[in-house]
Amino acid sequence: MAYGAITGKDVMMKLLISDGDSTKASRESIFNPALTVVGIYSGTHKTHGHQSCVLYVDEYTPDYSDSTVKLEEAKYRTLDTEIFAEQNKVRADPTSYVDTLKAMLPRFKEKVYKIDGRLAITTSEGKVAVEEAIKYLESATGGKKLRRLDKIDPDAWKAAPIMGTKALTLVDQLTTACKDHVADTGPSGVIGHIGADKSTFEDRIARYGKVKTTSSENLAYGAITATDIIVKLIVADGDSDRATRLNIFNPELTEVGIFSGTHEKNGH
Amino acid sequence: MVYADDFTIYDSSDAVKKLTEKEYLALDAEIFSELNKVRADPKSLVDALKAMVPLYTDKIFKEDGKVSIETKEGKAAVEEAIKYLESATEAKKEVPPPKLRRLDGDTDAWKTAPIIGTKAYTLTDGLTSACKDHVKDTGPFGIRGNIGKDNSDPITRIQRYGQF
Repeated sequence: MAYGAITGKDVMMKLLISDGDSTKASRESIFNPALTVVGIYSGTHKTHGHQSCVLYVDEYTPDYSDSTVKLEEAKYRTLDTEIFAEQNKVRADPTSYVDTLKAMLPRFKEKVYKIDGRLAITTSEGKVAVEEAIKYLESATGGKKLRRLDKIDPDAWKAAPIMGTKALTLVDQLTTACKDHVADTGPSGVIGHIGADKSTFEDRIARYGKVKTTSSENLAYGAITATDIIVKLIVADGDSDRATRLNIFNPELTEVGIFSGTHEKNGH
Repeated sequence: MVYADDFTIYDSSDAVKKLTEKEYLALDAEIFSELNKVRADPKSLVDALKAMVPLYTDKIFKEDGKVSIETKEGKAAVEEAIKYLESATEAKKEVPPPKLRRLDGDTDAWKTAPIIGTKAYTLTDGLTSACKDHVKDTGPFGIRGNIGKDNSDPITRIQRYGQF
């Protein structure tokens, strides 16, 4: 660390002199031939005006994030197919995702989620959201009898998903509505349901067909595997309504369109 | 009351100058280039350090037009740094592999005399992010040193972005 200097040369002289430090540690880092990689960042400092940080290491393997991985067009289409399959799998058997979610729990440190070798992700709720999702999936109830009970409480699936919820069927026109949004928001990095063209998902769906009563849209950013995407949507970190989760398990929704592509800010 | 005939205000100090984000980025690039320059040629900064020596009065360092700075060691620290840089030696070409140097027992020779032509550092984003965390964490509070307000140490911060 160097404080108060505003030229590269002044910073270097301060580090070389290491005034007051008998170990001259900051000088040693400059000349140690075993150290090969640095990071440098300067900014303001309340008492010294400025500070510069230099970190030195021998060898460095940066953590990677899926958002920096480049996917070819064909890979996105495969991903769509996988998302479709995974979503119907978890609809048919909500408990099939319990183990995947449980494996996530030990990787939280407060609100930071960190897989070895990958960049840490700061979540809104920490593992609480995952634990809550596990509880929801484990509460899945099954059987035709229970479905009959749903007629008494049609919203029962919101508290406990129904085993064997009917598989969604894929509709090309809905996929096209998704494609419009991905193509519209991807290059500019817009996030959310309102497009750069100000369209809502209802607008986009209406371009290609007519909805009977209910429609909805789920968006997932940055992930490149179907499992990761379904996990994100089920956990719905930071959303107290768990809207994306409820869309997946809603028995009234029967048709789906899926389209993945690049995104300026989040990669995918 | 205090009177003067013609009063020139000291160009206070670099500390009170305001820099933009862009200027800080330029500073980072400058530090990187100076770092590799002095690593390749330790003697390149000897003249600049020598120019500092007469500016000390005991432990006070005073440049014309700038606010004086109280140091801990005075010019002794600068003289010692000059001595170190001037002792720079060429790398022994006959024993380049680190293993051999360790066998010879002189792996740490660079600690007393830097090696001319030490390989340039490469810059990496992950380490810069680790630095940025610390600058943003300590800057607003005026904390000094390697331990952040968030109690993080440099290793913790490095490991947020990669492994070494």
